[in-house]
Amino acid sequence: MFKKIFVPFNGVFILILIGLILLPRFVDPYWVVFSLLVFMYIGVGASFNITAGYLGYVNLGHYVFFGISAYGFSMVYVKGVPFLLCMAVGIAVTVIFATLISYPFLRLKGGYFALANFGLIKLFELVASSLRDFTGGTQGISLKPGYRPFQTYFIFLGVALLTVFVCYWIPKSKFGLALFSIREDEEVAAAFGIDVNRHKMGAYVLSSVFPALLGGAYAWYSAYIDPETVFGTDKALLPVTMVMLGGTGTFLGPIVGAIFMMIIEEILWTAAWLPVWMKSLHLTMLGLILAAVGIFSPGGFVTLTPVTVFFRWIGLGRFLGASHKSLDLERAPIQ
Amino acid sequence: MRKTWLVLILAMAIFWGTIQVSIAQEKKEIVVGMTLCLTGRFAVDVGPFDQMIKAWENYVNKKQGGLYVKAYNKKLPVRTIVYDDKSDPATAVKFYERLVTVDKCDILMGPKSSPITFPVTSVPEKYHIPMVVSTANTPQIFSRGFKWFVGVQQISTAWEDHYFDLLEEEKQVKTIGYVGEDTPHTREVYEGAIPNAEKRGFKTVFKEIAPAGTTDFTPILLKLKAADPDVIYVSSFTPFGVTFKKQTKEFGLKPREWHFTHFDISFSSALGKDANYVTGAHHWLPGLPYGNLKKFHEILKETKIDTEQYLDVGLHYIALEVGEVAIEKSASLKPDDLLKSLWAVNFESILGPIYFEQTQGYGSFKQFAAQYIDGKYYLISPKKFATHKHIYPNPTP
Amino acid sequence: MLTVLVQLILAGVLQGGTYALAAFGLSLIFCITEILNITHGEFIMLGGLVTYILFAATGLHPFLILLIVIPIFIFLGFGYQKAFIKPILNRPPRQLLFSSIVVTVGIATAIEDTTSFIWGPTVKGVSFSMPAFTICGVVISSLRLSILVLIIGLTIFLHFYLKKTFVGKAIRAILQNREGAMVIGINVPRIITVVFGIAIGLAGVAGVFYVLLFTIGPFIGLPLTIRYIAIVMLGGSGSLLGSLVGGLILGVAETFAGFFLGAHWSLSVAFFTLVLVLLLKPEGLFRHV
Repeated sequence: MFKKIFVPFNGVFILILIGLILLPRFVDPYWVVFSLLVFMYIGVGASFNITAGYLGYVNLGHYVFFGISAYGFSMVYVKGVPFLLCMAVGIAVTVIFATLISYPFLRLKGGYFALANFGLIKLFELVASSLRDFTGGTQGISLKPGYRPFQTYFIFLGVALLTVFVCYWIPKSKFGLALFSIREDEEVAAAFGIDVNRHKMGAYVLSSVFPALLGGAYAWYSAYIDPETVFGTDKALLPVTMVMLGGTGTFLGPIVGAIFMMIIEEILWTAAWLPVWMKSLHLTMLGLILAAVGIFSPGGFVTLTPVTVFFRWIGLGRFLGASHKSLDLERAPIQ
Repeated sequence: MRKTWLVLILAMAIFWGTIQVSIAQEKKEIVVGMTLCLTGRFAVDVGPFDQMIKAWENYVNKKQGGLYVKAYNKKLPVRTIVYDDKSDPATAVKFYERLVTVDKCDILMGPKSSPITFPVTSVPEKYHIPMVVSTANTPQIFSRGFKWFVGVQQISTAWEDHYFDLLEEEKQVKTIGYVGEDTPHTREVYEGAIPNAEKRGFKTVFKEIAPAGTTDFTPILLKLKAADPDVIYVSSFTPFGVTFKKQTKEFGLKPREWHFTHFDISFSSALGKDANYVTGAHHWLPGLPYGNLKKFHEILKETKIDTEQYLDVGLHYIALEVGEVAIEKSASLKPDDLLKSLWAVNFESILGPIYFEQTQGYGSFKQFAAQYIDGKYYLISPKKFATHKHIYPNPTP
Repeated sequence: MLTVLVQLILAGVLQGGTYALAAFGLSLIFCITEILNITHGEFIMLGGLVTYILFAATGLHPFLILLIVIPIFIFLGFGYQKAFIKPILNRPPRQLLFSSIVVTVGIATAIEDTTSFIWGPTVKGVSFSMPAFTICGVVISSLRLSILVLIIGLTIFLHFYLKKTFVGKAIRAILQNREGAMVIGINVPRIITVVFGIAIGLAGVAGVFYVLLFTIGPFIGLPLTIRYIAIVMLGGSGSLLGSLVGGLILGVAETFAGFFLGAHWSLSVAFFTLVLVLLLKPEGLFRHV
């Protein structure tokens, strides 16, 4: 089993890793902040992929775990509790919530599941705004101010790596195999003796851990959270869109998606060589790019031939995960 | 193996490319940076302010020849950089980092709104680059003891001083009913106005906060109707205010005066006749005699920004004025000198005298009171600059 | 006390009615094509925008503007479907969900940004009002009442359209069994285009009412879509009656909560109700027509 985990991390991967670790020393803090945001989206996106891509239950409300943990962390942190304990509280609260909510929600199917979870985000936003004495209401919670991009960079890098490791390991494990079979056909999987409910819940709760880690750390980094920032619905769609852009169900998808979107945004807004009108419309450009990718590349970026060729060429071919293409029983096409 | 080396070399090349080599040299220009909410939820109040910033830059460089720097005994040109923070605090922080580290700004102007200013203020504090906060005035921002920024406005609890002064003087109002929109800024104004008014002897007959997205005010309106105050005071942004006012008409609420803290052309055009005689808080309006108005008007003319449409124009503008004064009075462009000069600023801007409270750093500007009468906004308080008498009680039947 | 209760119920009903309309369009799209049309809110915003522009330019009575808006948006719906939805309709279910989200989010963002660029980010409203009247101490807003009457009218029209006309019956057939409908010779792609036309048309109408009652801005689309999704979930997708009832329940829940619990709870209660219904009856209250 060890061989399965460690062998894939070949030379190129190690190089990239070393590069990322050394990055803060060589570049402006601006890029450190940029990178830590990328790691955050990778972490949230890859964990979203566990339920959406591997299990087949698209959890549009995945971001709610981030928010709950951020609030859990902050509420305890302002009372003077040490950092690690606060993180533990944030994660614990999120995981408990995920466990509780998984019972009723996992009975829903497909689009209903997606939307019900999405509704949760809005619900939490409203509740957080209303329970003023508890959560600070719309004014939010301010934590001890401090300037911490470097520590946060490494925390986020660590969490992103952890998430990526887990997402790599799952498809190669029995757990992952069970998830795939549930994804393809739940009834048949049950008929073959897989404890469907336990696996669904396991995937759901597992996926909640990573955004929980990121949520608490983010609150610490930003020193201020309010309902709109951590439960904002437009924010919530962002990692989801990134993963779908990159390719759901694949290992590299969330990573590629997150990096791609962040870089495109950066280029569209700050590149000096673009005409002014394009900069004012940078969101429009982004939206159109998204739509184009959605229409022309259904499997996501990672399934595009130039991209797969590129990855093979630099030696990361084994991460492409073509083995995880789903069977997806075809509908009769509409001519 | 070859592939690996290739990647290694590529990676190294990228790293080298991004290393910034900074050579100490005499500054050629003064760099002023900021982010604005050009998109996102605060964009409604921001408008084309990036154009105004550029217009200010052109004016200073062409008409004034730049800003005078004592250390070099000459004027240096100004260059402004504006990023869109999409009304998102994390994006704003990212861009302020960039302004300080990549763009090497000498002075920063604050972003729009308190929730964004909150986290952003840790950037000047860490990098020791001074910042002038323009549109945030939540008390908590200033009470943290940060040294590297000041704000031009008084804290939000003093927002309505001019208006209540007027009411106190006229001695006609006895009771006030309050409605607040639950967003960071409007909530503080609401919470600050109530004790302010009560201290002066106005009785509070109703007060309630509603969430920002409320579409149906029936519960509040029923209770307000029963309370029947002289003044209905609404602390809100335009969408909330307009929806609320429209519904009050249906309920036949007839207070002697309406007061909406944010009202501008969007508000009055959406309400038409119903906006007549409404009072509110405003920043710059004709009638104010302060400061270098000729320059202000020239800059505005270039951008076609209407002060009645965009309340915050005055605030952003005086932040720039403060920057100018601080730079020209500072011993040099070094951050410590700039900061000292900033705290010591005391001059007459177009909104009146500006100076900073020396421990917390909030400023001296309090909103003026205005009234919308037959299609135009008039200043009504302070009385000495009023361009129209305050019409009370509301004459519409 | 009784007048207060009646007032609250009435307000809730009037409020909910405005919700119901756009919700039905969204629910139709979801039920027929399994696509989450996140762009829906943008069409409501655009409906309001067109109304605002026409009203500012011509001063026409908004209900007349409504008659202009309906055909515009029906055609807009056709165009939207042909350009962006058709290419992804044939994908396998899960891919469809993903693609639909990416595409609709992309288009929604593009619409928001372009609108903000062309017309500015400021909030716009229409200064049109109608006098209210009071019966036995209960205030009734005639504007809202007229809107409700129009909505009920449209709903009845839609109901008969779905029951009696060929296209309507075809829609219901597809709702029940897509493959079966194809087998009996229904031109499914054409009908789907019609469905989109109807749905976006309804969204446009909702936009007209929206700008009359509230204000619009380029960025209201997404929060609106979420609210309407909640109603669709509550009422059951594909069901006309469900959207109506779902909207009404939400409206009344909001007003009651606002009165008895405090205004800041009104919106939360709506979502609580949604989650509760979903837990008890996952498909929503009504099954599709």
